[in-house]
Amino acid sequence: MWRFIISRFLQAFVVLFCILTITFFLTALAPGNPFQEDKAIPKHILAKMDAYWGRDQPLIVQYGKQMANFARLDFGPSFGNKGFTVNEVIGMAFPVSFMIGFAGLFIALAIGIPLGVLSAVKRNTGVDYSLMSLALIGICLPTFVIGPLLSIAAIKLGWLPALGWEVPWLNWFLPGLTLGLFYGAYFARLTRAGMLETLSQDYIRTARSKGVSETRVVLFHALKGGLVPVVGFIGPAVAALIGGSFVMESVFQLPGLGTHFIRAVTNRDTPLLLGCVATFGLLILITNLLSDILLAWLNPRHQSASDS
Amino acid sequence: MDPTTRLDQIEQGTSLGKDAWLRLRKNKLAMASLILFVFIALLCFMGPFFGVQDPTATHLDAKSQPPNKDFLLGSEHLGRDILSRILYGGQVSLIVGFIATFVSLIIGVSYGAIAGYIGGRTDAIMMRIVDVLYALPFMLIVIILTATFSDALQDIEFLHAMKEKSKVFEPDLLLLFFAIGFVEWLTMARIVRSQIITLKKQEFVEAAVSLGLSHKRIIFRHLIPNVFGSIIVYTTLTVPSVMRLEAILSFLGLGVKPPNSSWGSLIKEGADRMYSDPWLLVFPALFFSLTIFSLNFLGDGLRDALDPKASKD
Repeated sequence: MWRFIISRFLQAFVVLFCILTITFFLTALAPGNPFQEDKAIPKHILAKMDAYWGRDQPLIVQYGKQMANFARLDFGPSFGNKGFTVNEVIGMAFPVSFMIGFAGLFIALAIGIPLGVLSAVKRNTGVDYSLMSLALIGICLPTFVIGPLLSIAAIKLGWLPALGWEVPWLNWFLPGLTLGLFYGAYFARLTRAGMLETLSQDYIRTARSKGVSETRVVLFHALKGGLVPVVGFIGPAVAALIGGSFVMESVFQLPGLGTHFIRAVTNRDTPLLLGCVATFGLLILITNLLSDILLAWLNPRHQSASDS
Repeated sequence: MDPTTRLDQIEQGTSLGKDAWLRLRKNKLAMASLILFVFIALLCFMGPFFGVQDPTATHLDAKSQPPNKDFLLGSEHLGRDILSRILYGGQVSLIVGFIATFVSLIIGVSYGAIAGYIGGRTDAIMMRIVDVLYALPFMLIVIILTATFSDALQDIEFLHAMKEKSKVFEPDLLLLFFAIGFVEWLTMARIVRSQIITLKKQEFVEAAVSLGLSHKRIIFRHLIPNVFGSIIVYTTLTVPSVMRLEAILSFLGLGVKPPNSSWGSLIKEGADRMYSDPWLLVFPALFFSLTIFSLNFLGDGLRDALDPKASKD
């Protein structure tokens, strides 16, 4: 088990290193200057600014510096947000994105798993068909359509603060619900598939023939195996939730990490960009790792298969 | 679905295509989806020939009109007709969806086929690369690609000359084709590889080898045609996911840029004005969602038709 975890951990760092390298060279080689503004800045001043921020050094030196920064998890000052360090910007924006993503994942699991189990237990009945059609509709309706529609509804009905981040404890709800409905639909389908497969196994028949009640069979015997595909999807889902939270931040006008990421890309704010990518990357890698460990626990065969 | 299910097992008597078509025709949902999709696509590409308004024409005397007899789906804040904007935007969305899918198809099929055919160490290394790429947050990469290269492409003179001839050469669209194509090929490569591995042990490949055919010929003439079924199914399912990615990028202001518009950028414009003019959001969203629906259902139907052994989920 420890060998498995450590090898996964090392792989994760190689992946993170690759992403940061790609990101650095793409932005460094792209045309444009982070200090360019609408009003033209004289060339000698631009040159001085470049020198001050170390942008006049050879690319490979800049790259080495940024990687050293990453190793210390301190990305230095942001080019675009004057007077702020990258760490400060991320420190302010991360909780916003994290809350939305976490709420989204939580709601998705809370909706998806029970509905998937119900659908599998009542397979090929009206309940199953209507739940699965609903799930397919949920998958096909993109978040940037559900989000605005929900926020119209919220404003017309006056239930919830639809935009902004003034009431932090309420405002993550709509974006979270939007993401949750969308990924909940995926989770419902995955749970159903996993449960159907598990319910047809021999050990379930054994449990039933021993007179274990049907509820107990479903909830205690089958659920653990049935959740394997769901847990396997959590890693990719977190990556997708980050992408989804970009859209949510744009729809609900939230000052999250996605907003800063997109601004950093268009402004060529390399330090902030690398900081954002490292944050997203670490988040994805940690959840992937956790979901791998959880999978190995749920299904020991998975571990030996991925070790080889 | 077990991707290693062999397609040759279902080919008995009738040809694979004919057999699949017969099965698909019985699937009402898939047929309805096919008809709906063809209808939307025809509307987008043929509509402009049947007296739809110019999507760029502004009518300052008819700003922000709800749907009425002059503007069937309403007009926006500059008085531009929403129906014609949706149809022209649909052309862009569909073009991006299909061409970016095609790019990913070419990369994925060749990569998967080569890895599966060579096997051994090469295969292990090639698939390891795919695993690593899978772990990358591809959304970030696509955003970085589109944002960093958009200025660079604008400067290429050749493209300015070409885009007069065809919309396909617009720099922002070209960028989308490749940026999306380069991240969407991974699953295709895996599917094709696993099928090639089961196929290459069969007698017809041995026969081809003993006839002295080149590896290139065996891969592209003998192996890949045998995996067409899975390729078609997965392509049908890739198109909607590519279209969704394009819409997200355009929604974030990174994909299709004005004066071009796509369903994604129309939905963004609608979302900005949804409280006062909800029709600006509802109609583009409706067209987009219906297209995604129909392609997904069609893909599911094709999977059942081409590969009846794989169950629905």
